[in-house]
Amino acid sequence: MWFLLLSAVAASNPPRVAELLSATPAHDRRRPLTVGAAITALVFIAAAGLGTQILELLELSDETWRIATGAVAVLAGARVVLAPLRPVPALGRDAHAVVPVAFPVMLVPELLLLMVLWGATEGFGASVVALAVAIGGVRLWGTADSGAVTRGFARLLAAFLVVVGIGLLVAGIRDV
Amino acid sequence: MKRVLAVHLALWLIGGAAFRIVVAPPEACPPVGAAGAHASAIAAGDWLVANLDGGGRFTYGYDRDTGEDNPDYSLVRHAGATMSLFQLVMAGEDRYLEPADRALGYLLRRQFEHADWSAVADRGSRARLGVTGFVIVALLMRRDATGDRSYDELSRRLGRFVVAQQESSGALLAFWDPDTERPLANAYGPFATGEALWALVELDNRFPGEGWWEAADPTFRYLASGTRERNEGYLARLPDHWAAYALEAAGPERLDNELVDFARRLAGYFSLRLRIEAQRTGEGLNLWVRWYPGPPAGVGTAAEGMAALWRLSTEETRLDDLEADMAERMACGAGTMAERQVTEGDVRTSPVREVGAWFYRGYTQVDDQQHVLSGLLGAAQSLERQEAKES
Repeated sequence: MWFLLLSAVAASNPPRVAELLSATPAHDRRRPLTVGAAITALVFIAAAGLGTQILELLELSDETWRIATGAVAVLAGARVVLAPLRPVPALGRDAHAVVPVAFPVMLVPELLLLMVLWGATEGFGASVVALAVAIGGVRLWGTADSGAVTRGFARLLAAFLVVVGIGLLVAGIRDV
Repeated sequence: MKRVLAVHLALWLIGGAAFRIVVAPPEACPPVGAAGAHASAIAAGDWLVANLDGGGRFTYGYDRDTGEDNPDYSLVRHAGATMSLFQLVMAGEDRYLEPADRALGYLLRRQFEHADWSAVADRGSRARLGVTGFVIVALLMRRDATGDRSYDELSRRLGRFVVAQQESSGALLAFWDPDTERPLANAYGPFATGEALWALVELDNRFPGEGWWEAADPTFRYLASGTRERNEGYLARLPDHWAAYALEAAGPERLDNELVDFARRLAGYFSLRLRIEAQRTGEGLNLWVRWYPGPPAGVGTAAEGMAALWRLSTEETRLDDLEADMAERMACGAGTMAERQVTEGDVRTSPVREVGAWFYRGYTQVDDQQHVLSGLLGAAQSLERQEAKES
């Protein structure tokens, strides 16, 4: 369960979200962030709930999906570590919850793949708990100020995501 | 914002397509039942028999595009194919006993004696550990199938050759040099060690209390601990299907946790190999990201290694959690290979050389049939068990 929680938090990367939304004052961020988080959560809950069916539809085993998720997590983590974080344009007070908050800032492929994986292998309940912690973290941290500390934590979590990805790759290779 | 949405949607679509094509192509598992897998193994056995001459020598390789035989020969591949014919006999197909004996005779005519042991080698060349290991296993399978014990003493003599090749670390030297009358130093074989280990364990099963297990155990440790890879210069752990046979032969009572972990690790490697194979179509973009469907011998080794571990898992409770997944991989591998097997309608140049065989880019070799046959026999066992449960 700890691995699920930590990997979900690393993939959602709350300080990265805060940094990307930092062009908007904190009090103007709250509403789109809340709505965007809710939309994102719905999509990911659906992904976790349909995990097994998605893998069957794609004709993939859990182990192959684990390897694929690991590869994507490594790339996504490395991108945040290495590439500059460019904030999205300032949000309107009551708008922009879907674009750009939910998509593309919060609805990241690495978390989507993780939710399908956890939904198929660890069960829906555990996946939703991990997701709730991750999205809660985004909602709480998402209004933080930009700065070196936020960027540093974002890169730290991204580095951890790389470790998670390598772990998934190794597990996928060793699993039967 | 519309522009942001369009750009990111396009990136998602491109990324999703790339993910599907490059990272996660579908694992296609053509359906096959126990009877189908067994029939496919029989067709491979028939290829081996049709390509075995009166002196017990196989056709080594064949190129279906040029219609030419490969004039080379490999004694260890001959020995492996002989063993797989005896596996068919053990599976109840008695008609393969005569050709299996003929192929075995080819090997036994090449045995020579030294001190208290015997080994097998072409005249004047180095005695090979792996060949001798296969001959032991074939002789013991023959013993089980026929009740004939006339080769018991020879089996022991061959076993003593294996023991004579053993180093204190458990490593087994692959060759014995007739010129120096000594094992060739620092020469190991990637597969010979597992082949000989399997022979030692099978010897212990037939002749308990004679010290064969005591010889096998250090070699098991040498493999399970990864010392082999460090000492012999391999970058990654070897997916050793012969070690899987040895683990199966050892059985649950003699496996401690280190050896059970070794079995689990091997099962993981075989599973990865079979999953990748299921993703290969050899067509279109898939060809560029997964290359051609793999060499049949390579796929077959994963299938037969998995089959050995699956049989072990049916008795070993510490592997219970893997049994269903192993069965699934075996069924997928069997379906894939049964579908790829050449039938009469696919013949290009020679029915005798092609029907029942598997080709890699137009070429087949005796060990292609050997390994896939063994994997299919294991899959047929697993599928039969599954069908019995469902009925």
